[in-house]
Amino acid sequence: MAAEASTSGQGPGEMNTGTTERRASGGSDAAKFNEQKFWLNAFTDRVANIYARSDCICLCDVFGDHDKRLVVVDASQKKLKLWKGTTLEAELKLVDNPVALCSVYGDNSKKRIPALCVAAGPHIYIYRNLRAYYKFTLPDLAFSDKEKQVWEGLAEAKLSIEQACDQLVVLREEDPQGGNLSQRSNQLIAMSLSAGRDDMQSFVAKAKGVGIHEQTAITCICSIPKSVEDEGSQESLLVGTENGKLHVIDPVKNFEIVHTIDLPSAPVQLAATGAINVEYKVVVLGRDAKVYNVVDGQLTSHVLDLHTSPIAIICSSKFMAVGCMNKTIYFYNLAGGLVHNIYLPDHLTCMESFSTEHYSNMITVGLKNGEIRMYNEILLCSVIKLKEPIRALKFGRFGREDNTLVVTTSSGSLDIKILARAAKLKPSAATSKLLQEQVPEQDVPLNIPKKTRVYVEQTKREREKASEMHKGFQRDLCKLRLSTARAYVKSITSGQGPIWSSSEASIITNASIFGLGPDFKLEFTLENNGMKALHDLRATITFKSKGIKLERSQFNISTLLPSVQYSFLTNLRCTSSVGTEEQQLKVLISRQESCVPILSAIVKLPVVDQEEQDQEPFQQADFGASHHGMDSKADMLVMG
Amino acid sequence: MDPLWLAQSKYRRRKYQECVEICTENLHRNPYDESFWYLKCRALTAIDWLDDIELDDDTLGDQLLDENAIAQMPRPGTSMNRPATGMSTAAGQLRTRTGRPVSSTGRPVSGFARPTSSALRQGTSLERALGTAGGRRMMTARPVTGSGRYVRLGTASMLEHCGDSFIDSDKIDIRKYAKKPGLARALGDYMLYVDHNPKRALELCSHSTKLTDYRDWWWKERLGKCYYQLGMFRDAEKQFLSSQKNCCTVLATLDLCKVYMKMDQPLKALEAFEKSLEKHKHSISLILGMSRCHDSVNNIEEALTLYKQVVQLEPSNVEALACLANDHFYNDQPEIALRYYRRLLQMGVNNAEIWNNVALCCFYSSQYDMTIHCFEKALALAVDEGMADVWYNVGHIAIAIGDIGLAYQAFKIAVSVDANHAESYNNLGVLELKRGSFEQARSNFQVAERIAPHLHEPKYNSALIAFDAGDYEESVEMANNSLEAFPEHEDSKDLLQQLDKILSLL
Repeated sequence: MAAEASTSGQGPGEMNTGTTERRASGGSDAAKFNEQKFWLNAFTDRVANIYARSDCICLCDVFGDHDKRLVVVDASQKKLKLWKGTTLEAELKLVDNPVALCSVYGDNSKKRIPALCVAAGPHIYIYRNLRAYYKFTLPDLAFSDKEKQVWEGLAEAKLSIEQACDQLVVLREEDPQGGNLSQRSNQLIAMSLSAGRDDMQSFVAKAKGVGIHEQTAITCICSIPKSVEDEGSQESLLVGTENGKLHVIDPVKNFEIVHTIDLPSAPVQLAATGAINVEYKVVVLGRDAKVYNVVDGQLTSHVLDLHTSPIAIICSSKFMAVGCMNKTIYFYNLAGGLVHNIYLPDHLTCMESFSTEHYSNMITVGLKNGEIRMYNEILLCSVIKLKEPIRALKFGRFGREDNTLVVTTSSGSLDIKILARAAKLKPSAATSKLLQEQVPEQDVPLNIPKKTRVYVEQTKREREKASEMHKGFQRDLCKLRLSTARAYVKSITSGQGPIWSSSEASIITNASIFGLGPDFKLEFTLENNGMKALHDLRATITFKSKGIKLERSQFNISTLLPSVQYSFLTNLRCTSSVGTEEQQLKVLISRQESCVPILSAIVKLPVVDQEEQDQEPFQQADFGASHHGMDSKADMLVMG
Repeated sequence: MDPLWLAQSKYRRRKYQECVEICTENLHRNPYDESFWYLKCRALTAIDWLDDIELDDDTLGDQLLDENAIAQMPRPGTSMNRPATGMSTAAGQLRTRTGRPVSSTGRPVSGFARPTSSALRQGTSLERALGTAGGRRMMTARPVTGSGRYVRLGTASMLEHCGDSFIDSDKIDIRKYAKKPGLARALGDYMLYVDHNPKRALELCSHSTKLTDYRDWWWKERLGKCYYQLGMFRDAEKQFLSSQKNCCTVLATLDLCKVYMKMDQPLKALEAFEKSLEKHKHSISLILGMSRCHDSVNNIEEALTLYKQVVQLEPSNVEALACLANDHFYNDQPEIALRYYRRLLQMGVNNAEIWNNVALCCFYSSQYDMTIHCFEKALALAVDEGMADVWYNVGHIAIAIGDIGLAYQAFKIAVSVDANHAESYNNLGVLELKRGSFEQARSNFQVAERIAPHLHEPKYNSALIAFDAGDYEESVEMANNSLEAFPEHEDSKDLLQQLDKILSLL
């Protein structure tokens, strides 16, 4: 076992309350909190190999010996693992992929031994003393008599397959949500649309004489006390199912469903307060991003719409907190009004409530950046920084230590931390000071330069000679417009420029050269951004020097389809007679009907290092040591 | 008249060619006349003299085949590869590059085109470095290796005096010359500057240093230069340091700092500058070097104070004036910038760039009657790349006065003049978007992005387009790209936040 490797040398049940948590952390507030010794590092196992969410972790007195164990069900390995102190005590193989885990005190016997309930598929496997004890299965789904009649008719060959399909489609449309038909009927309808007749006949033949038995799956479970909210008192089990039902199950009466509540959506997570026999409230996180309330077995009309996907929910006697995918935790009061929200620095992965003897209503949140944050309602009290994203958090009694936090991370490592007894989990003075010191944005002065004397003089001139300035500017502007228009016309008629567009098409070209020389590769691309294809184009590569040898200098392009990038390649070689002058190559694209190029791309040939014998004059200007040119850029236009 | 005296006089009057002719004639008669030999050597060197302090363009080969490994993730502000992004000013406020155009290295433009301002920095991919069209803005394609360039310079100057090689440095007896200090120095310079044969020069220098008991600063400095040309920076550093110890000269300091900059250690260069400044308090080249150093790590505040110092010492220093003007312009004080540019004009700097800048300053300080006139002058003077920039700025003015048609034409012209003008493509894209042609706009942004990956605007604009089209995934990607190019871009951050909200909604 991987876990045992790192736990040698420690007696079972004893925890190593050694080093204090002192890791570097990102935020400044985080650093501040870390200095305080809140959390003692009890045990770390980097290779614990746990892949379980908070739902699948539970701290429970499995054998009734008042020594709480850590129980984990791992869906990826189909295993139940049990830690006692720092040792992996037991490992059980599970039959199915577990969904959720919870412990329930069922009977009233003197020795209080809880039952471990592992939900998987439509079943709940109940373990006691870590032995398989009972298997609870959800009842079959009820289907309408009409549907049954259709299948009976099929079996007795009263109905043809087509007729049956038509009737089933009618039945399906009776329910707007379409969830009323059995899987078998749905499959038949689907087959009628695509599969052949033989397949359908064999499908119907297989179903002959077999009743419709279908079950739904369990999505979440949770325990709730029966009458007294005490450790070890009798509890009931709440089970949410995929078809939007919430069952209340009594473990004493042979796991019988006592009560069922219909929900509008499949539940994702349950949070319960109160006691079944007195009064209770279950908050249900629906898959449709809504929060439903069930009070005393009745679904209330009060529904919270979150608008964003919820991740975790916590319910206490004072408030309800929902952590959502938009990095926010929303706090609602019991009446359902939004009270506060906390913005987190990163995405939250899990949430856990806890209370100690000194502090109640605490929340701890695991984040994707590896931080674990503790909040006293909305005030941040403590931050622990781990190196990996947090996967699950569980707070409770572990072994003999009351306030223990179990953390698992994305790589499957296990961290157990103990809250120091003397720790004061109060929002530090620094935080409240920080809150006060924040200056409102509008009070920060802008960085505006001083008004200079020159500026004042210039404005004066502007005032005095406004009309002359305006006239001069307008006259110059007219001249500029004319010269610009001339230059523009020249540039479009001569085909200078890499973009050409007309009413039906637009082409972009781009040429580049690769290599160090004297052998180069010239590549030019053409892309048609218009709506129609272009035909019969010709590309010509021109250059001045005689020393350049091109493999190909003409390309006939028969078609340019829109939105496809065409690239053309040719090799070229510089012979010694090129000289030290820089060479320009021009790629000209023209249409068949006109001799004027429509667009062109210019590429420069790097100077080749080689022995020159040629007597061409050298141009010193290229290497001017420092040419005194000013950079000339105005500020850029950014669309806002 | 004594021919030697005549030759000397010609040399002093900088009539080097004539001086060489007289010397050649006399040497023809008596090949062993050392005085003529010396004079000819000096004259030839003077003809080909290059101020190699300024010549420190990183060549392609040097960058790709750089064996001087440096830290991959230097702390911000200690390396030119990772300049500090924002710095606190005296007012305690953060000053960033917001609103200031950047060069392809991601640094705000400094107002003065220097050899290195076009250099590719490390970390660029090989393909990008090898392709030419990939947004190379300087009009010259870069030479492949540094030594190759010196050789090319060498051959070029050879061509000028008709291939008449005066000294065959590979054949002469270096030991013999090393014993004659006067001749040796002339020969050393000739080898370095005319013959471009750093290997032989190195031999000569090391012999001479040995003969002078390792005490001569001049030989050590030349030794350092040889090592530098051979690409052995550590050895060059050693020689320059030891030369400085013998005699602290400005030249050696400049050379030393050049080596440090080449090794990407701007802080060490600054240290060396400061040390040397204690001795040469009013050396403008030292102060300028320092401010360039500050510029290279984005420490604009420091650089500006130094530029001001330079202007006080030498009121006609073009570089300092241009940088100061540039800074004032981008700090919303165009009227002050205008003053500086006017001063530059009065000093006789007359080129397209300056007229362009004057025009911009005039426009932004609302002296409209001058603006267009200056642009016309700039256009008349401009060539090639500068022309594209001028048209680009004309386009800006057109946008500012609301003449979208004129702006469109101006940007189109800019693009046709310089096919790699990414900023123009970006702005064309924005204009196309305003016209409603969505596809055209997108292709324009794509082109801009391909040409200049260091610009954040086209990326941000692409993100906005994708956002409007409902392609949120693309939008997130582009916004992230934009932030990569410019980490403090508020609009990109806003967009990302908005996207985050939408994506986290159901």
